[in-house]
Amino acid sequence: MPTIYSCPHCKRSLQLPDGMAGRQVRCPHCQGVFAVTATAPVPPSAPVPVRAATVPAPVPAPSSAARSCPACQAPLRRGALSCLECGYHIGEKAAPRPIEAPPLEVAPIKPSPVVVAPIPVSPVKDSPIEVIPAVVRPAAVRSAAPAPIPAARPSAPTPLDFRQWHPALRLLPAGLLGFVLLIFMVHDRFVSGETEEEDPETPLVELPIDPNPLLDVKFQHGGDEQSGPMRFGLTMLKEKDDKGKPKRLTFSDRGDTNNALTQIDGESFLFGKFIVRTGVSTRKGDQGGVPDLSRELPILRGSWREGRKPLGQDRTGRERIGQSSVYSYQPQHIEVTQTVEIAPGEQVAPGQTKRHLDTCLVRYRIENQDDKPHRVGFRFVLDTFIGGNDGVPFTIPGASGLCDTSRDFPTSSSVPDFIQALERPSLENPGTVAHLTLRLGGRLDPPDRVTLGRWINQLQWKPGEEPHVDWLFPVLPMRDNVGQGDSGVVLYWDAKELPPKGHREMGFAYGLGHVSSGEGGGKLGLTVGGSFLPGEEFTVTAYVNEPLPRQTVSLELPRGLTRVDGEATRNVPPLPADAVSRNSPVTWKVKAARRGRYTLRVKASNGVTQTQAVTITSNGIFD
Amino acid sequence: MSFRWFIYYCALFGGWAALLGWLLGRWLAPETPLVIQASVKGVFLGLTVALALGLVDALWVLTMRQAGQVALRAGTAVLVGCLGGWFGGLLGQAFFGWTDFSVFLVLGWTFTGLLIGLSIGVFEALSSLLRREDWTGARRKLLNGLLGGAVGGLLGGILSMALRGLWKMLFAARPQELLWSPSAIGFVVLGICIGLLIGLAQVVFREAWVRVEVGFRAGRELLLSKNETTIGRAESCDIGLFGDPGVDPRHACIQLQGGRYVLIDAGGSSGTYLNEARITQPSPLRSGDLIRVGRNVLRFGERSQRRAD
Repeated sequence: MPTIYSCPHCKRSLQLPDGMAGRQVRCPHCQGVFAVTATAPVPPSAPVPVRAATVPAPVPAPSSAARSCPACQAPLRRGALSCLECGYHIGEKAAPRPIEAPPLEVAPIKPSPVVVAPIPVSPVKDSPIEVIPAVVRPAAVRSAAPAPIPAARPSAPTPLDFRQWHPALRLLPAGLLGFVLLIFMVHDRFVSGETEEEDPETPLVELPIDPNPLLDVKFQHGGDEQSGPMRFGLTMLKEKDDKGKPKRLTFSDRGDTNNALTQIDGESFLFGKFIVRTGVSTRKGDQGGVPDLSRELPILRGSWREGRKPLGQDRTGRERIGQSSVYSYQPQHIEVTQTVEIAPGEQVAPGQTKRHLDTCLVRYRIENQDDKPHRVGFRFVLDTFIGGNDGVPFTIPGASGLCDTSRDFPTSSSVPDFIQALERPSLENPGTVAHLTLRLGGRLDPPDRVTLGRWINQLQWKPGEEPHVDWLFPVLPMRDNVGQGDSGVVLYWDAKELPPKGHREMGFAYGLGHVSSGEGGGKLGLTVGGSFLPGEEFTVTAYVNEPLPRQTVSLELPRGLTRVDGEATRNVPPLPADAVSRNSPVTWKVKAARRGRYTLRVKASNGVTQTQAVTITSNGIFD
Repeated sequence: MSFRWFIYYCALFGGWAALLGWLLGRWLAPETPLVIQASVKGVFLGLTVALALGLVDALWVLTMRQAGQVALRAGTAVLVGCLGGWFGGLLGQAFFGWTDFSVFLVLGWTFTGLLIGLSIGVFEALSSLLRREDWTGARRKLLNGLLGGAVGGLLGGILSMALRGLWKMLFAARPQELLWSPSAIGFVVLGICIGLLIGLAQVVFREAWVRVEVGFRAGRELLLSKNETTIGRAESCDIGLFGDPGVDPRHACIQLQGGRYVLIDAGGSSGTYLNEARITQPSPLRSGDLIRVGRNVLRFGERSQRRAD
């Protein structure tokens, strides 16, 4: 029969089973050890009589030699920790342990069928009272008192059973957790960026953005927001051409000669509505010329759902430059969102302390709003132009010399990370460097095919009919029969099945690039392009001016950057005698495992060295 | 374990588990693509938090002797927690990536926390639905988990952002992406909040419970979340009263009948006593009633007080 006793040390109530008289117990509240007397139970305040019939017969006290359950007398197997019959936990607590203080001498208490003590329920505190029975050494037992009836056995230890801990100890894990977080803060204060960074000399610091853009984007649109093709052109705001006008990066400052084409289930449709102007001649009349009309041609297959929508603010609160427009093709219910934005370039030129708004990010998001699948592809034609040169040749990573005729990259894997065009061949003063990034990485699909060649006008139109443009753009040499150049780049994203409510995103970036050549004295220039996300690849291109026979260049990478293929030291391809540019490019594919700012170095065999900083960033929600 | 310690342990285990999840994500998640990285980190967070809270939740009413049931409950929580973390991280990162709006950072955290919080109550919900039982209690637990997870994710996300901004001001030269504390503290807060609110909500909104006043592991309190709660010394009993030969392997049970709880004796020789009167037939329970089984005394508690019959 459990009885309530008062601890002489802390005066708190304890509940003990019968037969504990003369034994020593440890108070779970104050951990004090005291001997149980037979006469001092705490008076009950809410007695609940217990029938004697429910009290089982006394059983012998457990001992190390006992091989039967002290609770139910069922035989125990050797080494058993608990009784298989009744679940009584034998455990370590059942083993006798010596006690220093002698037990009190008390009269034996015989088990009685009558009520011996009430079960006082209310005095028991709500904290889990754990009575630790002090087991008496057999030799110390002076009386023939019967062994105590094993009351409800002590709690089975579980991983969460911290009840035998002092309350202060229970708070220890919480304090430890706070301490660990404190260590993390100390790490951030004193360690991060000094030892963790792969390239400790150049810790990653977010450079501020120069609010004054270097590029301007103009859109070709009608009088209202729901008309026009929303084509766009790029001009430089701080550079003038030979005629004193803003230097252009596209042939038309409003992008009249660029176009976008959506292919839906095998049919091609222009993006946006087509505008022609009175008096516009057939300047590029390779295929029929531009109609001499001044109105918006009827496009029956689609309409603007949103036009010229501002882009809002970025994460820093800066007003984004550009706009987005949504064109909807009917009856296929295909929506194409064009987002054009002047954004800060990811890489900065040596010595720059700010990121400049010098890149035009172009993104297209195609959504299938229909309830059935459609195969949808996309094509973009960019009529390139630098300064006064319409037939500007391109530098292609991995290809020797300049591309001044035509080039076809027929598969996604063959498409380079970027192509560049230098206004002047001098590495010391290359003039405007136009940089077309074809692989932006992340969620944006890279083109499945890219062609370089001559720009032509593909429009086929007759009065009363919808204008039509063929899906395939002919790949022709940049220079025509009379030697006049007009270069263009065509980007294809092959048709892919979009399930109902499915979408795909694609994009590219066109803007100003940089060639680092200060240390190389004009003999060696470096530029990088591609995807600057951890784990993705980018291309390092070294331009070697007037390469010597058997000249080599070597790429030296800091820790954290790895070469994807090929050797670090490569031969510089000799230039053809009639090459337009005297710069021979050598390229490497490089990958960064982690975010950070790195400095890579290229050494030429003639002793010239050039370095280039590369910033690898990413924005993860859990970072 | 008393209710208040249950709440404490829920929060504590949630915090430690989230820290472990953060460490795993930091070391093992791929750097790119970001959507995959975030979803893998979400998986680790869901795995650890769901495992820890599932264990606390299961061990509150069970013991390690009932390892099978503990493993089943914790395993279900882990499975759903992993899925929730993966899906939450994926969607959160995707939204943030698409829009580039900071608010989606917090929403991503919230969504992840919400789905992880959901995992804690899935076992009971599925059990009830599969057995075609009344799933009011299970549904409440499910909603509590959702609430706790969402609030935890919201607070964790906001704190993470705030710390990131603060650190940016204090340690301008430090690479923001390499800082440990903003995301680690955010994770821990998320784990603590999920655990705290799951524990708190279960206790605050509990309908009925039993407190062991005298006997095996006196002081522990157990929620009555099932239609039938068995009492006995068998391993399979919901309220195990071990070590007392006066308790039958399956001694009695508390059933929810017609919206109220009744005590039913299984017919053993030692009998079951309600307020010291031996019961011979199902007896309705009122809050404060004392149930004696062998030498164990249990006190029944109910949120809605009933008038005496």
